Amino acid sequence: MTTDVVTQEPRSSRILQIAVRVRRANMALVLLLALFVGLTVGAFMIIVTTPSLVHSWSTFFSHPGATISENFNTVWFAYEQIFQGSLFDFHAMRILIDHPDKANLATALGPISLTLQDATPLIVAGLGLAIGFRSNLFDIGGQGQVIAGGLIAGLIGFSWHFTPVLQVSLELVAALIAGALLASLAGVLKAYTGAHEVIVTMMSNYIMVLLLGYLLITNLFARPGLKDGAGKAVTPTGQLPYFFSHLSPGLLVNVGFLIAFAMVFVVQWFFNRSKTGFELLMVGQNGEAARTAGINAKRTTIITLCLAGALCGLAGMLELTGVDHFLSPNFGGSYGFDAITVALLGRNRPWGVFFGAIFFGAMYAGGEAMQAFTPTNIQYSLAQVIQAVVVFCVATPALIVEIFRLTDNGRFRSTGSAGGWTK
Amino acid sequence: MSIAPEIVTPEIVTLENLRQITRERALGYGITLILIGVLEVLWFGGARSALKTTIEFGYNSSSAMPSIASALRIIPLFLGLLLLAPVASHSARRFIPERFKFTKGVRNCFIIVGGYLVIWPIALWFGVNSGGALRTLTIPVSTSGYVVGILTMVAGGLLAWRRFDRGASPLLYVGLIVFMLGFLVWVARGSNVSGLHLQLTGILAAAVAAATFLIFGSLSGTLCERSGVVNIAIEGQFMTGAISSVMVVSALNGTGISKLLGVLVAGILGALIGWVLAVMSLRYQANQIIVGIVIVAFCTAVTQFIMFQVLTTHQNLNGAYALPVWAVPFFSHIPIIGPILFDQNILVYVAILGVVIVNIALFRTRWGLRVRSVGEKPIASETVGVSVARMRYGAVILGGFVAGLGGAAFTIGPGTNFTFGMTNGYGYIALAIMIFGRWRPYGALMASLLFGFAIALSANLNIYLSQLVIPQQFISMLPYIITIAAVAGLVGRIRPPAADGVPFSRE
Amino acid sequence: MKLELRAVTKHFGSLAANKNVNLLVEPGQIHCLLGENGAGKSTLMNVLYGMITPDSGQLLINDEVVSIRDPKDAVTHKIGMVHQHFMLIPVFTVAENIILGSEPVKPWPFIDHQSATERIVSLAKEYNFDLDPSATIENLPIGTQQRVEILKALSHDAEVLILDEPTAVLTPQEAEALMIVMRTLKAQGKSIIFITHKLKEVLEIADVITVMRLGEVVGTTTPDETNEAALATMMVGRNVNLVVQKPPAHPGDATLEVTDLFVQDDRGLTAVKGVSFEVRAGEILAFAGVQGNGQTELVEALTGLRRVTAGSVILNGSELVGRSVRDVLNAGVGHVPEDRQRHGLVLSMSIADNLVLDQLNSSQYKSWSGRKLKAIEENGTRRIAEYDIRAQNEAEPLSSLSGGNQQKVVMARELSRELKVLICAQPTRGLDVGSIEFMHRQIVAIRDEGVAVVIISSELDEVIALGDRVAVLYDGKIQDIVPPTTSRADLGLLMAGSRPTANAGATS
Repeated sequence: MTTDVVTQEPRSSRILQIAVRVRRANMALVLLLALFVGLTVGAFMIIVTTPSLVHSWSTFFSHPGATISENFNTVWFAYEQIFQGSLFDFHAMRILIDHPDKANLATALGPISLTLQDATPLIVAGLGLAIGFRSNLFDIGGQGQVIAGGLIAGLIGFSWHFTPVLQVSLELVAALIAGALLASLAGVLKAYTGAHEVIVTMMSNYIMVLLLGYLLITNLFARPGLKDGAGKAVTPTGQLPYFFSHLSPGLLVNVGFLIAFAMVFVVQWFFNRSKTGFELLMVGQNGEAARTAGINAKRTTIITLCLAGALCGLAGMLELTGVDHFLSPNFGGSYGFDAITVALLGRNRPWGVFFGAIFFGAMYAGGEAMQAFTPTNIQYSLAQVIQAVVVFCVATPALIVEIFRLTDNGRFRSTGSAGGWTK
Repeated sequence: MSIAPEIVTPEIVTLENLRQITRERALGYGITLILIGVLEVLWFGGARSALKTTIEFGYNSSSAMPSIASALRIIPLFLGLLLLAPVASHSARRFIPERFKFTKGVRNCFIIVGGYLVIWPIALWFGVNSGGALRTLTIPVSTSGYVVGILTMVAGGLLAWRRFDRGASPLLYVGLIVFMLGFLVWVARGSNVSGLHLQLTGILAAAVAAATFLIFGSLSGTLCERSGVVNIAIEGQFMTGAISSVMVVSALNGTGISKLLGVLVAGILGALIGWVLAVMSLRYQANQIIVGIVIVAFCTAVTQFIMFQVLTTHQNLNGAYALPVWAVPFFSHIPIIGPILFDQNILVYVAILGVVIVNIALFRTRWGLRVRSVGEKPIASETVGVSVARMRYGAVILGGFVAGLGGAAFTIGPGTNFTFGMTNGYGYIALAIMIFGRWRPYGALMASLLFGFAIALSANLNIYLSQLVIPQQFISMLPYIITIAAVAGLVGRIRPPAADGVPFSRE
Repeated sequence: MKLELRAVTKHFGSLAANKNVNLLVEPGQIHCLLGENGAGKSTLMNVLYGMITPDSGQLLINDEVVSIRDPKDAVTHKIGMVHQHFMLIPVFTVAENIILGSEPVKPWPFIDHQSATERIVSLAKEYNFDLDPSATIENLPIGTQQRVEILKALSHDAEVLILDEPTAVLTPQEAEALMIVMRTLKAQGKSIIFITHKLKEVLEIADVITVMRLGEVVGTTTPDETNEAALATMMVGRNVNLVVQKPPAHPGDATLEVTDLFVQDDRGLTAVKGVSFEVRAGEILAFAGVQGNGQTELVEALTGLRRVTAGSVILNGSELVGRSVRDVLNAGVGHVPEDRQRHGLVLSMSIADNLVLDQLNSSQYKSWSGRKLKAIEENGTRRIAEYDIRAQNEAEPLSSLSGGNQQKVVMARELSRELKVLICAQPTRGLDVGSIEFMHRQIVAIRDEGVAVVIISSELDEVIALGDRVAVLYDGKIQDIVPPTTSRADLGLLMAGSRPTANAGATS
C-alpha cells in the first residue's frame, strides 16, 4: 500500500495543506501530545489536592478570572520548578555569563548534571529491558537485577583497594555477570518449563529486596556500628570518578554516563549488525520461523534474558559506585520498574531509550526541586504521575491519534499478542 | 472391481490421554508426598524445642458459646441423625412418602441441615469444657513433627492410591499445607524461647484472612483470562481499591453505610481500571501485558501521590476502620473449622461466595458459555452472533470490580490503614495462583488458601520467632519462591484458554 | 429461499478481492462456486455471511434488499455457513458448540442442557447423522466435526447453506458421504452454495456452476453444458497443462533412508507410526494423503523440528535423528515449510534478510565484526533478479509481497544452499497458476541436478504430476508406494486406508 494520504489532500489552500500535514501522526507529534496530556493530568492532580485551589473554585462564577489565574499560577510555578530543577534557570545562566566563576557554574549547570546523573542507570537498564522487549520477553525483574549488580559491585567496591581502573573494571564485569545470572533463572525456567518470565522476574524482585535487607544486617555488608542501616562505603578507588569535580563539586556527571552512552552504541550495533541480535529479533517477530531456520529458541530466550539482566546489573553498579557509594535497604529504588517504562517510552530503540531515560532523569531531578520549592510542597510523586501518563500515551499511540483526531495511515495501530502463560 | 472400503477412523483419544497423564502425575505427586512425609518424621520428629503447638477447638472471638444443658444436647443430635439416615441408607428412604421426591437437591439440603444438627452439640461438647472455658490441645513441637510427617504420608498415600484424574486434587493442597506446618516445626527447632505457643487455629484463621485478597485477585484473573484478556493490572486495581476504600470510609467517619460504600467504591474504581485495560487491548489492540504494566505504573504513581500529598497532611482520611466480623451462627461453633472459616469479616464471605457464583456463572449459564467461547476461539463465537468485544468488555470490567474488592480486603477488611507498598506484589502472585488453579474458580480458591497460609506463616513467624535460626527475610521469601515453583511446573503443563492474550479482529 | 448478490465489490488495500460480482441462488438449488485459490470465493461468501463488509453491492433475499452487517444478521436471515476452517471450539462438547449463540435458558440464566440435547438428537435423526451430543469436539474425526458444523447451521433454521471448501479435508469416502448429505438437504428444499476448486465434485453434484477468477465472475453454466476441460479453462483463463514437463528421472544412490520412524503429535499421540522409505539422488518421492494423516509430523521429524520417538533417518550414511535443526540443515537438508508465513518467513523483515534466514552462520554473510550487510544486500538483489521476485527492491518488507513471490523467496533461499535432499511441504498451496508452474520447474530442475526431493502435497494432481514415485500416507503409515501412473480411484482408496485388491490393481 503505497498510496499516501498526502495525495488525497486538497491542494487548493496552502494553509490547509500544512494543517493536514501537521495532523498526520508521527512519533514526534505523538510524543509532544503525550507530554501535553501528561502535564494536563498533572495539573489536574495538583488542583484537586491543593485545598486553597479547590476552595478557589467556589468563587469561580463570581470571579472566574481570579480563579483561573490562581490555579494557573500555582500549576505554572510547580512546572517551572521542575524545569529549573532539571535543566537550567535562565536567571542563573545570565549570572554565569556575566560572572563566570565556580559557584555560578554549579548553580547554572548543576540541575542539568543532576538530570544526567539520575538518567545514567536508567539508560543502561532501559537498554537491557528493550533487548528483552524486542524479543517479546518481558523482563520486569529490573529491580532485582539492579540490586544483584549493586550487591556484587558493592562487595568488590568495599573489600579491596586496587588501582581504580582495575577495581572499577572488576566491579563492572561482576555486576554484568550477577545480573545475567539472576535473569538466567527466568530464562532457563521459561525455556525448559514454560514458566512465564513476567511472573518469575517479578517474584525475583521481591526475593532480591528481601535478600538485600538480610545481607545488610550481616557482618559482611553492614557498616560496623550501624545495624539495619547503610552498608559499608565503597573505597575511593572503587568509585566512578566525576568529570568536572575540579571545576565545581556541584557538577555531578561521572564516568558512568560515558559508559551508558557507549552502551547505546553497543546495543545499536547488537541489533543492527550482530548475529545474535538478528536471531533475537527473529525469535521476537516470528518464533516458529526462527525455529524452522535452525535457531535454537531456548538458547536465544536464555541469552536474551541474560543480556537484559546483565545490563540491569550494570545499571546497579553504576548507581552504586557512581552515585550512592554505599548500599541501603531501598537501594535501586524504582529504577527497575522505571526502566520498563523508559524502554516503552523509547519504543525499544537504543536512541529512544537514551532520550526517554534523560526525560525520566529530568523528572526525578525536577520533581525533587518541585517538592522542595513549591509552597505546598507538591510531592515528588507528581513527576511519576506525569511520567506514567506520558508512557501510557506512547505505549498506545492509537489513543493519542484518536483523542487529537490525527490522520493516521495505520502505522500506529499497534497489534501485539500477549500470548498465554505457558507455551 | 470388488473393493470393500473399510473406513477405519484414526484413533484419537485426547481427553483419555490427558486423563492418563494427570493420573500418572497424581501418582508422582503422591509418591513425592510420601517421601516428604518420611523425611519429615526423620528430620522434624526429633526436634527439641520449648515451643508448643496449640490447637484451640472452640475458639470464638465475637460471640459467647451458648450453654445448653448437657442432657438437652441429645435432642438436636437425634434430629440430625434422623435427617442423615435417608442419605446414608436406602432402606431408610422407604419411610419417606412417595409423593415426596428425593432429588439431589433435597439430599444436599438433608446433608447440610442434618450435618449442622449433629455437629453443633458435639462441637459444644468438645469445644467448651464443663467450666465454660475453651478447650485447647497442646502438642510439643517434637510430637508435631511426627504428626505432620504421618499426615503428609497419609495424604500422599491417598493421592497415589486413588490417582485423581482431574487436576490438582484437594489432597495435594492438604499435603502441601501439612508440609509447610512441618517446615514451621523445623524452623522452630532449637528455639529456646520458653512458653511460646504457636496457635495453629489462629494461624489458619489468619491464612484465610490473607487468602481473601488473593481469592479476589485470582478470581479476577480467571474471569479476564477465560474471556481471552490477560489482566496484569490486578496489582494496580488492588492499590486503588485499598486506598479508595479507606478514604471513603474515613471521610464518612466509619459509619455502617460508609463501609458498604467504601467496598463499592473500591470495586467500581477497579472496574474503571478494567475498562481502561479493555479499551486499550480490545479497541486499540495494544499488547495486553504492556498496557497492564503501564496501568500498574500509573496506579502506583497516583496512589503514592495521594498518600504523601493528601493523606500525610489529612491523617483523618486514612483511618483504621474494620468491616464487621460476622460469626456465622452454628457454623462458627464447629471445632477448628468454625473459627477458621466462619468467624471472619464480611469480605471473606463475599470472596468465597464470589468463587461459587463465578463458578456457576462460568460453567452453567449462557453468559459463561459465551465468555469461555470468546476465550477459546473468538472467531467461532463471532460467526454465531456472539459479540467478542462485548463479552470481553463485560468479563474484564467485572474482573476489575472483583480485583477492586480485593483491594478493599487489604485495608478495611482487617481494619488497617493504608500504607504505601502494602499490596507487595500480591497482584502478580494472584496471577500465579490463577495458573496454579488451572483457570478455575475453585482451583483459585484452593490455591489462594495455600498461598494465604504461606503468607500467614511468614507473618506469624516474623512476630513470634524473630530470634530463630532462619532469618526472617528468608521466611518472607516463601510465598515468592512458591510462586516461582508454581509457575515453573509444580502443576505440570496445563492448558490455558486458547485465545488468551490474543487480540481479535474480524477482518 | 431465493438469494441474490448484486454488484458486490470489495478491496483489500489495492487488491480487488471482488469486482462487481453478481450471483443468483434459486431455492432448492445446489450452486457451485468454482475458482482457484485466491479467486475471491471465500471473500464473497464472507461478505454474504456478514464477516466482511463490502465496499459496495446489494443483497436480495426473496427479491427484497436486506443488509447483513454481521454474522448475527446472516443467521436471522436464515443463512448458514460451514467455514473452511471449522468454527468449532475444540474443548467444548458437540451440544455446547451447536447451541452457542442461541442457547436455550431455563430458568434464566442457566442453560437448559436437557432440551438442547433433545433438540440436537432429534435434528441429527432427521438428517441421519450419528452424533453424541456430549462428545468433546477435539476427540472427533474431521468428518464428524464437519457434520457438527452442518448441524449447527441447520439448528439455526438455515435455508441457504454455504459450504466453503468442505471436501478439502475429507477422504474421498467421507466426501462421498457429504454428497449424500447435500442431496438430502436439497430434497428438503434448502439451497446450498458449494465452494470448491475440484472439478469432478462440481460436475457430480451441481445444479448451476458459477466460475470466478481474480475476483470476477467469468461465467455461469450447468454440468450438462460443460466438462472438466472447459471448466478448468474458465478457472485459469487459458488452456492449462497440469502435466509438468519433466524428463525421466535418472536416480542415483539412496540419499535419504528412513526406517521405522515413530513420531508423536502435539497432543502426545503417535502420529507417524513406523514409516520407512528411501529417496534416491535425482528422484522425486511424492507423498499423497488427506491432511492430518501424519504429514506435518513427518516433515517436522525429517527436518529435526520434532522429536522422534523411534526409528532412524539416515542422510548419506549419517544419522539425523537426535540432531538439532541447525545440524540437520547444515547436513544438506532443504526445507520448504507447509505454512510459509508462519514457519518459513519473517514478514516484518526485508526480502534480503529473509533470503539468508537460515544462513546466518555462513562466512559469506558473517565476519568477526558482525553480519556483512553489504553481502546480504547483494545476495538479495541477485536472487530477486534470478527468481523473478516481483518487488521494488531488496529492502522491501516481505509482508508487501504476494503469496507467490513470498514462496519464491523461500525457494530461492533453500536452493541457494548446498543441498542433498529437499523437503517441500505443500509447495504450491494457495499460489496462482503462473507461480505453480514456476515452482514445479524449479523442483524438477533441482532433481535433475542430483538432489533427492521429497514432496508432500494434499493436491493429488500435483503429486501425480511431480512424483517419480508416489507414497500414500494414511493414519501415520505408508499404505503403499506406487508409480504415478496408478489410477486416481486406486490412489483414492489408498488414501482412505483400504487397499485395492490384487485383481483391481491389475485392471487399472
